[in-house]
Amino acid sequence: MSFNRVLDQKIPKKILSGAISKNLLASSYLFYGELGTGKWIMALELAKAINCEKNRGEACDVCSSCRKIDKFIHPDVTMIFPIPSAKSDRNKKGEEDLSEDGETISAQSGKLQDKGQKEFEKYHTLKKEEPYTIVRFDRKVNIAVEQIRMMQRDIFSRPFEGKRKVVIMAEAEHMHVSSANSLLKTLEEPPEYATLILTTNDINKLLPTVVSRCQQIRFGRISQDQIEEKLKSDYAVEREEASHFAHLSNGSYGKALDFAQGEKQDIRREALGLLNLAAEGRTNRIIQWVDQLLSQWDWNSILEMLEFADAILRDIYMILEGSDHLINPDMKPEVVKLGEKFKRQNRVEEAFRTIEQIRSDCQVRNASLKLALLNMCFRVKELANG
Amino acid sequence: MTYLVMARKYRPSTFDEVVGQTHVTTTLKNAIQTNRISHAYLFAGPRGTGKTTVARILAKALNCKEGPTPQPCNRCDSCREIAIGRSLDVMEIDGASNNSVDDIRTLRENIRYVPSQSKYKVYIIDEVHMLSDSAFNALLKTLEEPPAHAIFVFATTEPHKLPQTVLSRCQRFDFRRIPTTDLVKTISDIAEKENLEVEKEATYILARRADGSLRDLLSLLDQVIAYGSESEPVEGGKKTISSVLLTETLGLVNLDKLFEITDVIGEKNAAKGILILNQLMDSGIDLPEFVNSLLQHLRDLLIAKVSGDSNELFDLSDVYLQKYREKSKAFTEIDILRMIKMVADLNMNLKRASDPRVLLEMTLMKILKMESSVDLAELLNRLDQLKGCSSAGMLGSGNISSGNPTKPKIPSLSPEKPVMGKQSVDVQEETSAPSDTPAIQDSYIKTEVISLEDIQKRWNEVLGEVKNNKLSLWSLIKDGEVIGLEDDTLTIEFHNGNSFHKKQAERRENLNLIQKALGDLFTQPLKLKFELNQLKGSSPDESGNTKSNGGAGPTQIAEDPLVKSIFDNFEGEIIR
Repeated sequence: MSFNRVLDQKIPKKILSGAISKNLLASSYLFYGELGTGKWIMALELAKAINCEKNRGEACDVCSSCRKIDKFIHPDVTMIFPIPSAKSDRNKKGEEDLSEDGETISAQSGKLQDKGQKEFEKYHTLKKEEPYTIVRFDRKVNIAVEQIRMMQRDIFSRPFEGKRKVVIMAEAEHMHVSSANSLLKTLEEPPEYATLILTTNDINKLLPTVVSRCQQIRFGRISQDQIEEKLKSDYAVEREEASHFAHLSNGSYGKALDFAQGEKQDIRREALGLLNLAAEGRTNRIIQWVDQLLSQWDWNSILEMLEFADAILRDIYMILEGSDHLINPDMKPEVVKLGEKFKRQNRVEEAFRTIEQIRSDCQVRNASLKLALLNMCFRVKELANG
Repeated sequence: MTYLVMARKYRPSTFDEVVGQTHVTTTLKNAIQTNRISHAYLFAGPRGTGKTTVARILAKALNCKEGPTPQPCNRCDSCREIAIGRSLDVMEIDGASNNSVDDIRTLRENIRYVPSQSKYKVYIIDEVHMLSDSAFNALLKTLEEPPAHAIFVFATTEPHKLPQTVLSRCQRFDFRRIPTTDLVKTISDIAEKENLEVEKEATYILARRADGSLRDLLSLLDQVIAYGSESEPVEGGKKTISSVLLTETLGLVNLDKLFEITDVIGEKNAAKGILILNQLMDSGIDLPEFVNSLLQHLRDLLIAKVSGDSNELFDLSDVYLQKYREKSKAFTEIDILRMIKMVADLNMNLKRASDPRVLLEMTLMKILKMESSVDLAELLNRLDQLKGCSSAGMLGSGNISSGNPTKPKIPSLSPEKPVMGKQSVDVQEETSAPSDTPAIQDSYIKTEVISLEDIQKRWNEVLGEVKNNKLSLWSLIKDGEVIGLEDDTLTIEFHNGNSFHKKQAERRENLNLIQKALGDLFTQPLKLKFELNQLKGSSPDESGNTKSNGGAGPTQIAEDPLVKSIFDNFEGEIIR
């Protein structure tokens, strides 16, 4: 298994195996690249390779160290990932646990275990089953300062049974500003026996001071052939479908899996429905539809739907350009029809921008989803009927 | 033995080793020499420029056995202890983790005790911007008048987050981004020590990527060395770092590809542009990285265009310099500036976008569609030339517009339309006022003269065209009646109660639409005039006239020779 478990990513593989074999392992890594390209699983494999008892530069998957890491029970491999910030837990304050660390810290860690337990388990089960799974929570997530502090207390004690301590932090872009800042010193000069691996989907959201302290390794898109193959072999997806999903996923196996599991297809259909409806422009039906949507879907799915709508608009744009490079080739007839409505490219672009704006409003500024959606539909309606 | 990353291995240990911050190191050295050591320093500057490093060197220099000296020996106990972070008298505090008021209170209690072995107690607080407000305030009194043995050194990337009261109590040093030339020099120094062979081209790429940060540079080097595996050709035991290797490792975009892109832009070949983008994307480039390099590339084009013979502004090798000079000829400065603006906007939006690829494609399309701009003064010049030209036959549309006559899909409004993107629409609008410069006006009316009956007969077709384009406009003007044609001004009459219709139809975008519809059917350009059937004489420009009446500003502007010339040629008016 070892690094072979990671799809494609020849360059990261070569850098990391080279680093291990030449004893050039850096103390902090930052794996960055799009969602579902295998950063996390690579981090896990790296942790295994570093600690493997056989010492071959790659994980053997049979020694006790490798197996423990695979089961997430290795005492020297710490995992950090964003969890939903639970407001209701604030008044619990955590049980008093007066150990030698002093009461504040253990109170905090107690509180953290409390609130994180369920999410922690969910994350681990999903990732154990299929490391490429994109784990989503129904609320906004972040990595709290307490999580970093816990890790920091732990990292300064020598490895318990492995060779090195490894910290894997998933989706580091969800670190709170104060979390990121409190990580800086550790990140720059961790103890000699420790390696920190940060993974992120969006390197731009990280503090430049964090980025600069790590060796940055980029994860590119996975080739469509490999996605297709893996879908067929692991999930017995039909050939035609597999190829379709691979195309839609745009190089992310995680996204391809989402499609294979079906629900994403509905969301994509709904995105097309939304554009059609808005372009048709019957106000009462739009309002009805928005209400229905809000009652059935959660926040994440709706934002995803907007992403799909963006992709469709891009296709409309290309059709108007006369190009045939489509993201959604299966929707071509509908796309062409919508293209006739919009007529002009600048209108499509405007619609695209509107949706982008709405998306960021909802994500960053906490806008009301309902009002935002309605606003967007009416704007698209105007544009489609010029 | 565990490997120590280069950024830590090559951390400077004396003031002279610090790269690119002489303004800081010289000052500090002199301060030590003349025994004018301040009790509080603030080091500010971007990441990887040497703040923490200088703070540590300062600590060493002060506590070195050989007395405060500008050249710490790095051999005595004190120096060595500081180097490994074990000194009892140099406290390096992580400001972000120890940011509460309690942490500061502990600090204040301990600071009173004299140093155990050395002369000074040095408190280095890194990431000091993360201290809480109350922590800062708790520190103020101590910071202003600390015990004689205490020295504070604050290091931060964000000095603006510090309260004024703290700033004013510190001697502040601003660290600068390390210039590319210094980085290039550092690379060759380190290459020597590490037994590396770095190609010249690769040196520049590395230095540029590092963006003024030494730490970034060194971790890049680490990464590339790990990537260049045993299979790489080894010459005399040296590892070679080539630009090819770099491009591959870092997912950079080859300069040649960037030239291909700008070539496509020059050719206005949209299909090929999309194709190249797709190829790039499949080859696994990093999109934000690509946009950055494109921006840099355009910047270099511009510099090549304006720099003349000086090479100073380039951090590029000479091979490409020549190419930039060559290629920049295809664009005007203004065009490159416009492209830069668009790509820079893209760069901003990319960070928030869900699918950066789509944005990139759209921007490229927009750039491809961009008409090459014409300098206004030059345009007027050309017009003057045209005026001098007596033969009306020579005044085809192509003569007035620049290299790219019309937008691909949208039929031109009327034959005489000068092509300048949006501006052209404005110009077109201005000409709809009655003219008193017959020289030009006559030259435009080169098509056959049509009669009122012709128009009335085909009016329904015109309405149909308008209906296809904008339903709302059609419903407004369908009640209007074509009543007159004088010269080239078409008069449409509305019933008295329909003043709203008239007003709406007179809006600029609506006027344009109707004119476009007319232009599709009649070769002769027509101007439009709307009237209410009882109230005569309200012309479409009335609103414009009233607006231009107020204020002394417009008259001043009108004195400007350029503006005057525009007035004369285009029948312009100052609207705002």
